[in-house]
Amino acid sequence: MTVTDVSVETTFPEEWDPGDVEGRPFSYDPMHAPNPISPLQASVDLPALSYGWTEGFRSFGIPVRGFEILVRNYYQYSRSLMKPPSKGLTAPEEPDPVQVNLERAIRELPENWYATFLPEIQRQVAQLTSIDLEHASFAELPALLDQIDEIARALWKLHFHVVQPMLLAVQLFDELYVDLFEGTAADARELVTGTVSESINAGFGLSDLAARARELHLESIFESTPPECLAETLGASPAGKQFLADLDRYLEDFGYRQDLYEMTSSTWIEEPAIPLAYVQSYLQSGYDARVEQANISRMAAAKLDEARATLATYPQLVRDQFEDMLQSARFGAFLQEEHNFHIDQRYAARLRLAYLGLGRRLVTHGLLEAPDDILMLEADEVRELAEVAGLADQRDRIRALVQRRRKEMAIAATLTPPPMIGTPDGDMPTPDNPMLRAMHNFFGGPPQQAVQPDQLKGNPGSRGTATGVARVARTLAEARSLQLGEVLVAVTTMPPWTPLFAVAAAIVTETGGALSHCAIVAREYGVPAVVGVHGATNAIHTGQIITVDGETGVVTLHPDD
Amino acid sequence: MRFRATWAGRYVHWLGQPGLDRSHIGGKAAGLNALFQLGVPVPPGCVVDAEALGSALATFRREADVRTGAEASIIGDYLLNAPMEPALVDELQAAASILQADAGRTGELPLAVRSSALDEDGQAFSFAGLHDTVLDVRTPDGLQSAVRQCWASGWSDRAIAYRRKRGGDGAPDGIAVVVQRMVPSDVSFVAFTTDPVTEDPNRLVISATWGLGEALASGSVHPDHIVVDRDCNIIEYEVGAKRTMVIPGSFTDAGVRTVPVPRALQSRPVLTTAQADKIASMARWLAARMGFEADVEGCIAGDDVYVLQARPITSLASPTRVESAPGTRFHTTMSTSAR
Repeated sequence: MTVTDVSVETTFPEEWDPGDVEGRPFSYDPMHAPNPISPLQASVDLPALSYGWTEGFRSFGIPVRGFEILVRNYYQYSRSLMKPPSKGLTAPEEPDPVQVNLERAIRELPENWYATFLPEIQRQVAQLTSIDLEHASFAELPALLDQIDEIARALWKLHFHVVQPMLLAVQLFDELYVDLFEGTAADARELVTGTVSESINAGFGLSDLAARARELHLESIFESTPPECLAETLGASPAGKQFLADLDRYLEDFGYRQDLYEMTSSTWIEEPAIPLAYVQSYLQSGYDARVEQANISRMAAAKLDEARATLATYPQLVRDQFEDMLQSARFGAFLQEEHNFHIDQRYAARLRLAYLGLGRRLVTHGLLEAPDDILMLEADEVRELAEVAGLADQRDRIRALVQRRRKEMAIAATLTPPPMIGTPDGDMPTPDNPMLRAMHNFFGGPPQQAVQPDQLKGNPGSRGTATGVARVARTLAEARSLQLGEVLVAVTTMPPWTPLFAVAAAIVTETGGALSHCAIVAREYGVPAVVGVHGATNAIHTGQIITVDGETGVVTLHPDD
Repeated sequence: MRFRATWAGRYVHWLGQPGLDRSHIGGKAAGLNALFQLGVPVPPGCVVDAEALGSALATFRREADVRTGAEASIIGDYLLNAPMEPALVDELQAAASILQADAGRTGELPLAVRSSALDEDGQAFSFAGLHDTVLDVRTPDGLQSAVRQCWASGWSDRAIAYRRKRGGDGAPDGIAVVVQRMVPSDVSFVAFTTDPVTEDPNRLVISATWGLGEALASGSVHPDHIVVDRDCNIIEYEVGAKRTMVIPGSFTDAGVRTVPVPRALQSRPVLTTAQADKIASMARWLAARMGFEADVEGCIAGDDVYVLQARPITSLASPTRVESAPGTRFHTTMSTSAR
């Protein structure tokens, strides 16, 4: 996407097919980036993501050439490129060095996470937080922007260093369990629930806030006030002020998150109506996250006792391996939420807030109309503005550019991006190894065909069956109106959505597999989920009665009366 | 598991004492008794002598007036169902409670019950698999039925046919029954002190697999194949694809079961170098003490190696006498690198 000359009329939308690109096709990733992405996101975050992905994979000796990202009509497409296999270098009897590296990484993951990775992540995020683009001198700006780029690269590298062994640990335990008990991987996954990640802690905090509201007798205010007005109404009473002070403390811990990892998506800090809506529904349902979590944890412990009893007469080595892989998988499932909280959420939120600071400054200089106009610029354009310190003659050009891109993004939001662009894959043999199976179980695989015409097929995400009224939500703001007992239907549900799982009777998503965030957290909440139901948000409409079977991965649509 | 019981009954005798004769306790029990006396680690156990079966048959003849061997299936059915002599019931109960004295992780220590036929000489003829073995027996009732089952297996069609081929009317001379503590083995092995195929005495050949030894005996798995030379070097290690293993039953259900081996363990070597070394040394020492090239069955549980049976290698063209000079070492010209 290079749109620099504003005098040219927009030819938007452009052709999806990039035309002259050789090699594998690029795929759309609606799980991580379902919506159009802003020019700043595309030019600041994505190069760092691409770098981090490549470096992370290389650190295990995986022969990657790179991770290419292509933005088309504001949609993010990507492809991974592997080096051709080198022939005759390794003896076939030798264990695969990548496998050896990954297995060692799995064993060392808990220690490395606490001793090395987490402190380093926190240090990088703290540094990002300390960068003040609003008040730094113009002379300092270029260096600070470089520093942000470096932080982004470092964090993405850490991210991809963690996620490989993390996913593989869960996958290997699933496979061991299926081998041992001839059961399903879903049985195995029940054993790894019950850990308290920051995703779960975020839910505890909301549940505690609901309890606090009850204690302060604020139920009637919550009942009668729409979420957007709650902060203001609460601020008018002493009890409400006390509550808001607690909310602020909560947001200091959990407010640096957005409903999607996109710089245009507001953080909870900026928009407390999101957590307040959660508190509202928790008050209504009487949901107690701690009690529910303890139940799930107890059930997992009981299942584990059962599995251990079955294994009691197995050879010691099998029992040892089961225990080792169980511990690794539990840590893997825990870390999937934990790394996301510390990297994906906090970093993305801080990146947005840092650039909004610069946006405010450019508003003061009259270059932008609103602080978030800066998100419509590309990294180079931002640098240029920072370097030439607010040239007034740039004003009209910049404003026109911002306006045009805003318009294009709005148009883009109405488009349906194709799942793949570029030259289709030939009959390339797909290599099969546990890591690729893990990736498949994370992303969820291609669309599946249901047997019955009134059914949709996806991946089993979390066990149980529930029937309820569907609530189709494309944004977290839309999902806010989810009523107790309704079924949440969404394209993707990233961790900031997960407190809704306490309200929903079941979850249906268009993206993801059994190892996705959505499925993992659904299991932690004990709510039935079917994930990776391609086209679900179009096939299902709000108000429709649907039945979700998290065991088989089937969603049944009931006819409207 | 080293253990010596002083208690002795009318029919039940503890293994490991002098004066137990093959003509009363059968080939297998006599072999085990000899191993006990050599001081080899053998799981503790006792033997129900052939007089117990004799007494049951005497009752049967009084009641049914049927000649031995004439109505094989009637005898088999009778042995499986008729009430057991109270003295034997008591002795079995007492034996079980001694063998199960310190409960392990399964709660009730499992017992292995094996037939020990009097006409099984253990050398010239291989009776492997002819008579029944009942594994993972946990209760007094289970022990009684297992003993009956071993008795009745002497009159199975197969056993009768086998004996008729050797001459006679097909009825067994008598059957004793070995009752041992069953080792919950992590690994089972068979070691041949001389390679039975090449007959090269420098090559001690071990087959090993996960779990109980039944998988080896039945040939249901492709075990690991290890060759250890006289200098205790592993000169070959071929990892077999062990798709299944036989393990004791679950907490709730006694009786062994065949279960899949997890993919991650199928192609993993069963024995460490130290374990292969220990097995080889023990088998060679046994062969030297017994005076013949041996086929040694055993298992490993935790850090312990147990011997379950040791017999001469029956398939050797010219049965080799082993000089009783343990420690004699032969130099090898073969590659000493483990594959």
